[in-house]
Order: sequence, then C-alpha cells, then structure tokens
Amino acid sequence: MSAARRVGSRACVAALLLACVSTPVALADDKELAQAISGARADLATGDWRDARKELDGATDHLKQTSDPALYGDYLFYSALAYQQCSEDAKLDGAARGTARERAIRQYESFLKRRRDSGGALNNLAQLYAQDPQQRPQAIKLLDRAVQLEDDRVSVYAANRARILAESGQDKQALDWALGAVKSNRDDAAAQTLALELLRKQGNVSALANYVRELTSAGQVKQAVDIALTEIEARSSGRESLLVAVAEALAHRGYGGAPQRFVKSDAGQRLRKQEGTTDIGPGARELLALHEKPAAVGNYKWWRADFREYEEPRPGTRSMAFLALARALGDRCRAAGESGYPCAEAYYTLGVDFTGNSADPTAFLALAEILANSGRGAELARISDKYEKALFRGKGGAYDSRNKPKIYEFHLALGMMYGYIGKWEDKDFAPGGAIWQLNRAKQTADEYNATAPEGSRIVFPPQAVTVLSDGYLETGAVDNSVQIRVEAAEKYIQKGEKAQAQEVLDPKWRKELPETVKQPMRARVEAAATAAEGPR
Amino acid sequence: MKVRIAACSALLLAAPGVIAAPGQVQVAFKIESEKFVSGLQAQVTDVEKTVAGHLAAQLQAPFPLIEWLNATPADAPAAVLTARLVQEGASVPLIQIVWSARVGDKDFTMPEIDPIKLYGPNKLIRPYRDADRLATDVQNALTAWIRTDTVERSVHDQFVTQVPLAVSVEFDTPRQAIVIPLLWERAKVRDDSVFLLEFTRPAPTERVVVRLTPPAPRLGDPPGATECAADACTEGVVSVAKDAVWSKCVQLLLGAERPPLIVTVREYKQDPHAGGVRNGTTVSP
Repeated sequence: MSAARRVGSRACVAALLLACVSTPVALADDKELAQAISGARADLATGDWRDARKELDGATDHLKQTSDPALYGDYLFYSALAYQQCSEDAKLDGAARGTARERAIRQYESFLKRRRDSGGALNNLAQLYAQDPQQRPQAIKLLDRAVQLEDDRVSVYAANRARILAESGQDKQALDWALGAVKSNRDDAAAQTLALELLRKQGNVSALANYVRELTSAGQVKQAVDIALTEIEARSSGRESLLVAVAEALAHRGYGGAPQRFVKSDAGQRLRKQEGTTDIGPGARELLALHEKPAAVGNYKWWRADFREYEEPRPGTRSMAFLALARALGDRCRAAGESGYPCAEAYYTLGVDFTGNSADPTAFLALAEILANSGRGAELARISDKYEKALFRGKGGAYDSRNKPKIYEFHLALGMMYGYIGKWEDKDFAPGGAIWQLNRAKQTADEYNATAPEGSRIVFPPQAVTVLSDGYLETGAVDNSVQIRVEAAEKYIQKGEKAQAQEVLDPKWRKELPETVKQPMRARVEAAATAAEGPR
Repeated sequence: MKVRIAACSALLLAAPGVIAAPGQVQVAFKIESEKFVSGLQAQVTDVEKTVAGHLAAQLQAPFPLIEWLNATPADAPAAVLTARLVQEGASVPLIQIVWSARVGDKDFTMPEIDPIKLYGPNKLIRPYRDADRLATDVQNALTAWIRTDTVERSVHDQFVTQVPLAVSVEFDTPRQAIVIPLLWERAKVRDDSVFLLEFTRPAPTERVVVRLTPPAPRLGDPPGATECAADACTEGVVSVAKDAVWSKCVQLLLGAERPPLIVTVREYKQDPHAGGVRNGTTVSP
C-alpha cells in the first residue's frame, strides 16, 4: 500500500465518496479506462500490483470498447507491469509467479509491436528475459535498443545491462557499463551502488581512488569524500591513494566555507579516527592540522614524502594533492574579503614554501596580489626579497625540464612581482626587473604558441602588457611603452580578441600619451583603437 | 473502479500580502564590479539578462519543486535570489560572484553559500569590455557551481527551505491527508522528503509547525498534486502527541477563523526518475 494511502483506511475513502460526490457524473468509457490505468499506474509505482490488477481487470469492458490506440497500449503496458510485479512477489509460489512472468512477457511483446521505441517496455521485458540465463542475450539486445533511445532513463537501462553482465560473470564489461550509467546520471543512486559494488569486487584500490576522482571532477565532492572514507574504513592497508583522493576532493572549489569547519564536520571526525593508524595516520593528522591552522612546511612530512625537487609534480601524488589543497584553502579565506587576508596569506605562504627551493609561482602570485591590493608595499618587498631566489631556482628547473608553460609562469610571476614593487629594471642583474621578466614571459609565450595546438596556447594577458608598458614609461623608454601596447593590441585584434585590445589601448592612456610620441605611432595607436572598437 | 476522489473540504487561505506567487523564485544577476560596469557600459543589462536566464535554468534541474524565473513575475515572487558580480582590491582585483536573497519583504544572508571566484590572480585576462566572454565565463562558473553536491546542499539548506511553496492547502479530512498544490511529477519529490506547514494560532498566540511526510502523488482531486500525512506538530516549543496532531494542530485550519499559512520544504530529496523507476523496472512506457 502506498505511503499516501496509509493515511486513511479504504472504508474512509468509500465513505468520503458517498459524502462528497453528490451528483454522480456519467463518464465516457474512455474516461473510465483512463482512470483505471491512472489508478493502476499509481498502485504499481508503490509495488501494489494486486490493487493495480483489480483496477485493470475491472476495466476490461471499457478496453473492448475503446478505439483509442494510445489508451489500449497504455493498458497493455500497465497490465504487463502488474504481471511482472506479481512474478517478483516472493510470497507467491513458483507456479503462480511463472505464469505471471509468461503473461507479462506476452503483453510487453504485444505492446512493443505497437510502440517499438518504448524504453520502459524494452527495459522491463529485458528484466524478465534476464531471469532465464538462456534468454540473457535477448535481454542484452533489448537493453541496447533502450540505451540507443537516449531518453532520460538511459542510466537505468545501462545499469540493468551492467547487472546482467555481472550475473553472467562478465565483471569487467559490467563495470564499464555501470560507470557509464553513473556518468549519464549522477543522481542515479542505484547505478552508483552497482558501480561501487563492482569496483569493490574487483579489489583494485587504485580503481576505487580513480572513481572517487571522477566523482570529484563531476562536482560530487561530498560523495567523493564519503565514499573514499568508507573505503578507508573498510580496509587496513593500501589506503594511501584513497587518502590522496580525499585531499583532492577537499581541494575542489565546491568544498567551501572556512577551513576550520571541516575539522568539526562528519568527514573530519571520521578522518580523526584514522589518526592512530600506522599507514595513513600521520597523513590524516596533518590533513586535519592543515584545516585547523597552517603551520610551517616541516609539519607536513607525510604529504611531502613524494615531493621531488625539480621534478614535474605528478597527478595523484600526495604532494600535488596537498599543494592544491593549501592553495584552495587560501582561496576560501580570500573569498571572505579583507577579513580573510591573514588566513589566506598563511595558506599561500605554505603553498610557496611547500615546493622548497623552487617556490610555487601560483601561490606566490596569489600572495603578492593580496599584499599589492592591501597597499602593503613593504611586506611585498620583503616577500619578493625572500622568495626571489626560490622563484629563480624554480624557473631554472622549468628551463631544465624545457617545460615552456612552466617557464612562462615563473617569468610572469617574477615580472608581476617586480611590477607590484616598482622594480622595473636592475642595472647589475638584468633578470631582476619587471621589464626583463615580462619580456621573457612574452617571448616564451610566443615560442610555445608557434607549435602549440589551438586551445592550449598561452595568452599574454593585458595586465602584463600594461605593467610592462608602465615599466617602460617609468624608465623613460616612451616609444617602447607605446609600442608594446600597440603590438599587443594588433595581435589581440588579429585573433578576434578585441576586448583585450581595448583594454591595452585604454582611452585614458591614449588621451595622456606623452608629447614625444611621434605622429606615425599616434596614427598606429588610433588605427588599432578604431579596429578594436569595431564590430566583433 | 477504485474511488480516488477525496478532496471534500478545500481551504484556500490568504498568504501574507507580499507573497502573491508562492513557489516562484525570481533569479537575478547584477554586475556591480566597477571595472565591468565601466567596460561593458550599455551591454551590462544584456549580460545580466542572459546570465539570469542561465542561472534560473541551472537551478531548475536540482530543485524542480520551485519555478525559477529570470524575469519579474506578474505577482510578487515568493523569493528573490540574486547573484552579484563584485570586485575586491585595486591593482588586480579579485572578481567573484556573491549571493543575496529575499523572501517576501525580508532580506537574509546565506553564510554557507560561498562566493564563486571568477577571476583571481592567476586569471589575469579579464573581459572587462567583452560582454560575450563575460557571459560565457559566468555561465560556465555557475554551471559547475550548481552541479557540485556541496553547493547544492548549501543552496537547499540556506535558501530553498526558506521559500514559501504554497499559501493554501486542501484537507482530506476523512483520510487525514493534506494536499499541497505542488505538481508531483514536475517537482520530482522523493517519498522521504519532508514539508512544513506553518501558521500562527490566535489566542493564545503561538507558532504552530506541522511536519508533513511522507509525500505521495495525489490520486484524486486535484490530480497530480502532492499529498502528505500530518506526521508531527509543535506549538511553540511544545511537541504535540502524534495521535493528536490532526485534532490539535490541523483542526485549527479547518474552522471559520483560518489563520494564513505557509508551506515550505524542510528536506527536499529528488527522485531523478520522478517515481518512474522501481527496482530497475520502469513504471511508465
């Protein structure tokens, strides 16, 4: 009986009818039939096949008289479904269930002759066929047809197909189908459960960790953490990759709120219980401590154990997950505005320090930006001084590995850092100034872009162009100051990036062009500005 | 044929005047960042409209029990959810999307819903003058945002539960059922969802909260609505005995002097197949 109908007895309903329906209305046969079908559908939605059967059997006269093929078809479908549910009723004896199964099959087949593309009928008939190992190939074919319909129940069909494969001992293919089902509908709990069951059966912890990663990528971060913790709790060894997957999920931008909140959360408490274990205990402890308050990098030995100076960080490693988390926690503090600056600075500083001799340029730029935005020039100069060498070392490492995007990142970070503190050039050491570094960043981007595929090319940002231009202006190289902007604008226009061209050719800047700028250059600026303003 | 028509006594109650369109939420997007306002100029409104439409569509998927609108409805909406593009800092400003909300005539904060970082220090290319690019970037960020389960939960807890879904219900007295004018199939309500019916009892004045669960599709009139049992009730801070919920709490809404009521959802759980799948078997063709 459905939940709704538990609220009152059938006697009450009958009494109510008598009381309420004072003027009986003569209903057309089709209306009676439609109501019976609708009632049966509601019964079947709650598994009440007996009431559904009564509804449908009571409408057979109306069925004979109907000329509406759609109604006739619906009747067939729900009648088949009522028999199907009857065939699955464990309280009935085998013979009764067998008879019901046969009837259900006949009616679905009959229905499918009328509506070939009914995903529901294809799916349900496949379920019935699948009960007989001999008929499983037919079931698979039906489900393939259903999947090809690509309707909003495709995850159900795919999960059922996976289940049949698993029952036939084809676990690998079953897992592929189950994962496909999850991908097609992230809210399909049955598909999720099946995929997890099959992954566990496979016993491959790395595959489980990858599954957790896929959930994280799809934005199901809470579920990812929950599943990873459940798997950690169920095992006593081989759990490292799962803890790394937890850290990766926690670094997702969807995991918001103040970092400290995680410690008190259910997930935080579950992690706390792992602190005493020998394999991942230190990792769990350090992860919780990171959320409580960032400390010096030496406090995170477990997470830094696989960090290799001057080596490219590899996805899935402890160090890469931890660094991403430290940056993400910094971003979360930063999102709170100025009140979050101290907290953000602490996390970004940890991020910069974490990579040791090479200083993480991403965390560094975030840290420098906070200091620049809050007008703390002296502190900016201090951290620039402190990390300058590390950034240079990192840049050197990037050059050694010939990783052009990384080389570019370091040049840009150094250039913007020098720009923030107004150190435009260094007479004794050329790379120690914004102009040199930003020019190198631009050059590196050009070199990389010459062979990089479309879509992965580096765009030298307008902010860097304006900082470079300002640097030239401040050092008296007026022509260079104008030229760098015009050239950048012309390139942006060529690529259709007119908005960026407009940004570097800012009207205020154009209005205040130094008098020494010659007419041909002025004309070039105006021409570029006109082109940038034109239709996109 | 089994008799299913049971709505004998219908009760229509006036809601607080400011909520003329319960269940409808107006979604807005406002560009407040000075850099973008001055860069986009006349195009600001276009971007705001485009993004509001996108956001409304995105919110419809996880919360179909609400009608998310991107324009002001004819009647006052039950609530307004506003995403604002703001900037912070001077040299390379942090550009993010922050949230504000209003239910009826009351503004409220949603501390659990974090800002969305759109352009940080590592995204130096900001389309200050490029309306299309900004709209695309914001829409992509919002799509990823709402598809995140933690965000979905925060929006549920902080906003969705505050939205008046109905200001009238129907009572099926013989069956002691309460019918919410919420289309079952469209709302995709799972049967472990919980609704709340709230009103103020006069003399002595006391806030009454009736917990409505489990929800189920209404079989009789009005067809397709959502029917619930009155599961529990509190008067002020006092819990009413389970067997007296109808007589002590719901009965107050059946008399001649009917206080205005509001229905909200306490816990919304979505059935991804709208009741159409049971143990792997579909319940519709």
